[in-house]
Amino acid sequence: MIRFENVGMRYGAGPEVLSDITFDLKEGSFNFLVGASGAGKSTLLRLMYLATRPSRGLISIMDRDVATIPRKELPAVRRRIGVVFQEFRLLEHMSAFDNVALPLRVNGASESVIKKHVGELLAWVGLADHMDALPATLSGGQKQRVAIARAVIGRPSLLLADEPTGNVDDAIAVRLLYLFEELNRMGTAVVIATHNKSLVERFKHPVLHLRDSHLTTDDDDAWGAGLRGQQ
Amino acid sequence: MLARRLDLPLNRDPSTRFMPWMIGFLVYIAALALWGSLTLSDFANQWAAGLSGTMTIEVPVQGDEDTSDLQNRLEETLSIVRATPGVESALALPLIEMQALLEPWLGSGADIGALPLPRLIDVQLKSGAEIDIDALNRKLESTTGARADDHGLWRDRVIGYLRSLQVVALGIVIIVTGAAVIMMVFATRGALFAHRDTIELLHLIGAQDGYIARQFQTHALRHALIGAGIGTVMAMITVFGLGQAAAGLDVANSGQDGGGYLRWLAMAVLPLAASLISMVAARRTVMSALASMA
Repeated sequence: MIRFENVGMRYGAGPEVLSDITFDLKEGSFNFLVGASGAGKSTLLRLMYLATRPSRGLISIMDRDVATIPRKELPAVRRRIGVVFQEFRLLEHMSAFDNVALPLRVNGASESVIKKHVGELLAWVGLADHMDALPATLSGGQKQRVAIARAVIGRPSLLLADEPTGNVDDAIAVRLLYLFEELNRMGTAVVIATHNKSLVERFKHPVLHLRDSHLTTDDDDAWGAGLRGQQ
Repeated sequence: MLARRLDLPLNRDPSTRFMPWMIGFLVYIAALALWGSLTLSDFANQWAAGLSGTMTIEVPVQGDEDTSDLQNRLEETLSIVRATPGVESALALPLIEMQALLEPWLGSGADIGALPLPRLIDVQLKSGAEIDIDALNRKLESTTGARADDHGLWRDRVIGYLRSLQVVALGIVIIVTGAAVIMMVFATRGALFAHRDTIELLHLIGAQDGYIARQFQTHALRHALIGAGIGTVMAMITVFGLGQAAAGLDVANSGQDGGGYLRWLAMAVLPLAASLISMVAARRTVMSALASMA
């Protein structure tokens, strides 16, 4: 599903924010991505959802070498990736319904299909009564659920979530994780970047640790080293 | 297309808020220039057609000849001209008409018969007929001493001047169109910059460049149609008013003849053309900018 080989990333002439990143995530896998603030979690996710290209190394998404994907074929690959952004990135002038419908409209779905699927999904995340609400009128948790609904409406093969529980209390965070697990059982590979140690410990999934721009795995006992500074 | 939902809040952009008015102003200027160009073209054609079928023959007074000698040469000249192939009719201008023509200079009651004035013959040619003016002049010179004038020099100068004015008017249309395109390009670039985050989001959820470009072109088309419509209506009111003001002049028959319908048709097509040009300018600007994005 996702393969990184010796990937390095730097912005401009600055130091590498990611160095020698190598990992291989299988289809249908579920992984947490942890690390201290500034460790490069968001940058790693941006590389995964094709928002930027690496300074060096090889990235393969869904068996496609990212460096060789023609520009006109990028949208088709991106439609198979759902993203929950850290700051939601909802369109403020659109209702919750239209925000969630956006990926379907971009994909050319008919309005009848959009109405059916979006309605069902918003009901599933508990926002059936807020379909017409603008983001500005929603709470942080509600915005989070709209963002999640938008990320999964296209039934992506890969779901990437950047701090999806950062704006909700523990109870809702657990519910969201159950929601992600349900998607995962339906075949979607999931990568969740989080600071929430208790959540990671509660849901037993493999963990990718980012520390000092390098990636380690569970076996390296980097969890403690990576998050120690935040506790 | 006009009813298409816009994912980008382009209507809220301060940079495009006055776009319809600016387009309206430019289309107003372009419409007047276009109307002027077509009107001048009609005038040139009408005058060319009006003069091309006529000719004037001048029979000058020779030495101290008396009136009867001049009359004889006039009659002989008329015979020669009427016998020339392609001539429909040839009539000597009556002295009374010449007197009326010269009255501003000679005053009323002047005896022009006593003056050494040349006699004039008004010649009407058959439709489509072409006279060899040089050959006719040689024949007249060798017989009666008369001289034919087909108004060619004067006609060519006047029509050349009208054509020059027409080119200037068309140049104004082109310049105004270019200004509208440049304005649309810069407004679109501004909107691209203002909405770069949303555009990136649309890309990340799988939008093709064409999908994003359609947002801008739809917005541009809406604004252009509104602005161009207003500009064209104002221009139509202006030319109608000018037509009414010039109703008493012979040259003010524009709008009544066949060319008038062409002008009104051009005015009706102008806002559509301006809107399409604006739409294409916006689309090309967006597609060009997006091609350089990730």
